[in-house]
Amino acid sequence: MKQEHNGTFPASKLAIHFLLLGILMLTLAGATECVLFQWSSLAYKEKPICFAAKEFANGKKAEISYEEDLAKLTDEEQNAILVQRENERLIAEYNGEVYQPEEDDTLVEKDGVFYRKVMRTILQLDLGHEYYIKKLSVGLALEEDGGYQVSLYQNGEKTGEGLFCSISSKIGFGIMNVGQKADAARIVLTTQQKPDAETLSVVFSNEFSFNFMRFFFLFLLFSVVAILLNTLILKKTRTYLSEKPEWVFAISAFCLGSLMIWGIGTNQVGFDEYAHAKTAYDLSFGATIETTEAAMQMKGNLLPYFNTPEERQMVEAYEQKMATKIAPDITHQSRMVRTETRVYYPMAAGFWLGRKLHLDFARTVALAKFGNLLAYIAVVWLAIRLAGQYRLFVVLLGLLPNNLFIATSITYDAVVTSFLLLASVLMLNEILEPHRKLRGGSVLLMLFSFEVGCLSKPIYIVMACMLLFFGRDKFENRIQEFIMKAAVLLMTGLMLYNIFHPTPVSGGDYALVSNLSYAGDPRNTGSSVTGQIGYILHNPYAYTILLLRSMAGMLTDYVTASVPFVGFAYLGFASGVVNWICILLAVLASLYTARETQYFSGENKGIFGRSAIGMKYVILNLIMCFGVTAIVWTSMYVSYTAVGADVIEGVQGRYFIPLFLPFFSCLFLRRDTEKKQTALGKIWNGIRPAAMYAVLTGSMIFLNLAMIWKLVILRLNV
Amino acid sequence: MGFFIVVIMKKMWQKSEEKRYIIFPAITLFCLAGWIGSLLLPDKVLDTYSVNMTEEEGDTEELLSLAEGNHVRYQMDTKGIPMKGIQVGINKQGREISGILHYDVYVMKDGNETLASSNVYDLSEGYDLQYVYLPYDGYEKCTGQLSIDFYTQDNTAEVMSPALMANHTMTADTVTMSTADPQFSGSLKGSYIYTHDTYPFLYDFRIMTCIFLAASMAVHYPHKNRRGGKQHEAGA
Repeated sequence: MKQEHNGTFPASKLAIHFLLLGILMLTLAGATECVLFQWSSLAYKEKPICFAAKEFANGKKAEISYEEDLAKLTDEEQNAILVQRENERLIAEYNGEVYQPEEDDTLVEKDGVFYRKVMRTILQLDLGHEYYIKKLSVGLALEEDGGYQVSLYQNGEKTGEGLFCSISSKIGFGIMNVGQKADAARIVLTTQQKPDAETLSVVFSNEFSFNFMRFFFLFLLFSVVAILLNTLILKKTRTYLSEKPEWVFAISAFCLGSLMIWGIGTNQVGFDEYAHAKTAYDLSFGATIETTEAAMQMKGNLLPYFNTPEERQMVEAYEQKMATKIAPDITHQSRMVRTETRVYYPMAAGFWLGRKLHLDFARTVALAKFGNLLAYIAVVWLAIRLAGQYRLFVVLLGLLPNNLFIATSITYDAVVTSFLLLASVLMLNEILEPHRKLRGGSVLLMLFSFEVGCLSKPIYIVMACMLLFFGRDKFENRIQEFIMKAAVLLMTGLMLYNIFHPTPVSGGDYALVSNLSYAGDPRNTGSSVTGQIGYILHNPYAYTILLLRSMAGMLTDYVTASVPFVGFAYLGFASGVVNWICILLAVLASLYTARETQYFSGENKGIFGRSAIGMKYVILNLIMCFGVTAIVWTSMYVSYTAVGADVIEGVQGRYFIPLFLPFFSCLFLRRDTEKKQTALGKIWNGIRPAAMYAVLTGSMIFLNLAMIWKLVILRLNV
Repeated sequence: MGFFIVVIMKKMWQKSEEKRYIIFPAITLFCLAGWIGSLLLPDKVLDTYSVNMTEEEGDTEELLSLAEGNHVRYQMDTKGIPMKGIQVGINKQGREISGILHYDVYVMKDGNETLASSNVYDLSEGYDLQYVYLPYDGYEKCTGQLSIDFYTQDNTAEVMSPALMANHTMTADTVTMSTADPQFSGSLKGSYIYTHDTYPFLYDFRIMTCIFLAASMAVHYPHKNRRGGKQHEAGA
């Protein structure tokens, strides 16, 4: 039987092909890990050099000395002290007492800046010969966190400095990567008090240590390259990319998300992740909450942080000890769950499952994050499936690094983003077919998605008001139109009303629903809801100027790339150039919708075609985006910024991600008829879907991989 | 498991297509009934607010005697919320005591005192050192600045009296006085009990009513039009 040579193969041969490809990628990844990243251990095989109490005592190869110093606190630490003092002052004022700040002997204030008294321990170490230092481990029993700085010497000359590492008091070790040769080292330990030299240990090592995290990353990287190359030769791969983009998204998001969850571990690097973890953890219980010491530290953002795989092992062992050796604290809660708390169910399910399976603490936290990731993938999968002609754009939005990161953290933002995306897709589908009547299932799912997406952030419900502008053609008759629009308006009003007058669902909620006098964000000094509302009402013009200036400023910063947008919260951000890359990908995907659409414009408007949503909805979308943006800024001014401040604090770019689809839908096009296409339009429409999907989706996947490499692998896992 | 749930739900959704014009309005009416019902029949819960339950470092507990003829007066402010009751610690000094503890609640307004609630508690109930819940009859009137007068009657303990537990912490917006110890400076230990109306499902019923109302409209008229079309064809 003749084999077809058009790139199609039987399913069994295809399976074997990809299996062999997978094995090849595994081998390649393993070889790269061993040869490229473990070369020093293979080239310089030496035993570790250790310095402990004995070596410091006899003083031959190791000398130790001490001196006192002042260390300036970071801006965050300075602000934390100011916020704490302000909160204590408010409490004292409320209780009718005179405020007395708590004395701290280790704290020194000079010219309004806070310094901490520290002890510096200087270690001069002689390694005896030239030694390739792959890793440096310093162990010391401490009551407060400390750190150390290393300078390396070779033949008396300084060869390396500026290497800094922290020492967590909870694990008693600080381990760093060095990657240099030296024959001597000078280590300066910084601690609160004079350390106990008996517990001090310093180890220089160059051992072979296969990094499975990095190995999996490399396997994923090579596999993506291989699959994209396969699209050139295999028709089935090509068609799969363009015909099943929802599955391409699901598999990519799962792999990338797994990498992030595994790589980040229990490090709490998401914005306010500890606050979200508290809610999700408590929700995973019924009426009785058992909070272990490890969980308590998680809720208080006090879990030790790891920077290397070796530190990670110690941190996880410490956390497991805290989770099992100390009796849990018992508290009670109502079984009735507040509406805004329900968005934590995916994460709570993970915590619950981890306990049922008796997993250790680190694995339980990972399971909670997986719950969030799987929920995000499921909803966005459905959104892509329903998206129709603009599926490519929705895939890119779903794979945006910011979105994937929040889906792998313990935060409700993933639920908010995914459900609002689904709701926006359903809304846009209706807008794209202005003459098709509204369908029951579509309306039900759309409004339900808006409701779930807005449970924690009700201000986004304003997006649903686009339905109020649907034309008469969308409805069977006037009565239907009137009742449906009234229902949407009522729903929007009730959800917004709930912001100011939350419905108490259980006992203990009463304090939340009363007394705005002292309401404000305790994280920021001087914030007060009623005070700020009063300020706005008395100074509407000044506030309007401030609002417009802030909105324009942030937009300009992101578009001109002076401020990075794409990032992983406290792990860091990609450079501003990546903003442009993402904007370019979004614009290309938006314009490409014309190629995918089955609807023809009938007229030749513009270079590529006619707007798919029509000028009316372009204007409405832009107004809606502007309005929601203004509301978001105002809500942060009211709740998070000090009263009367001339800047609006706390607004982050990720708050506007739900507006991306409505905004870029203004660029969606209908296809020109064949007769009326311009030359450029013909070229554009001639690009194969598979090629476009491969290039754009592949670009987004590579962007994610690059960020994971830089911010997760290199920063935490090598 | 999730996959099977999705498959089953999908099948149910497909099978219900013909009947959605009945199902959606039925759910809408159910949600509307729930909305009205939630408003009319709120869930009443008791909320406990602990006030001065522990001693600060260096402080010791004090006992305010309730021997017959002695009164303990406790003034506090409910901040406009009707107070359901108070929880105070009764020290029986290890004895089995019988008798009646009276606690009269006066509302203080413009310098005048008005008796809002008069209540009794049987001292033979409860354990020694227990913080007992003392509800107010007609608690709706017990709002604002209150003065609660504790005293006993028919107290069989002649020598060892029951006493209320207190300490030397000065709780804000309260005054504690004892006729047995006019020099006492401190506050009664205990908790305030308020009752609140909660609406566990009100939010859901409200929003679901709106959602299903909109969805009902979207299925009702197409069904009506289809039925009208079929009848027209049959007639023709």
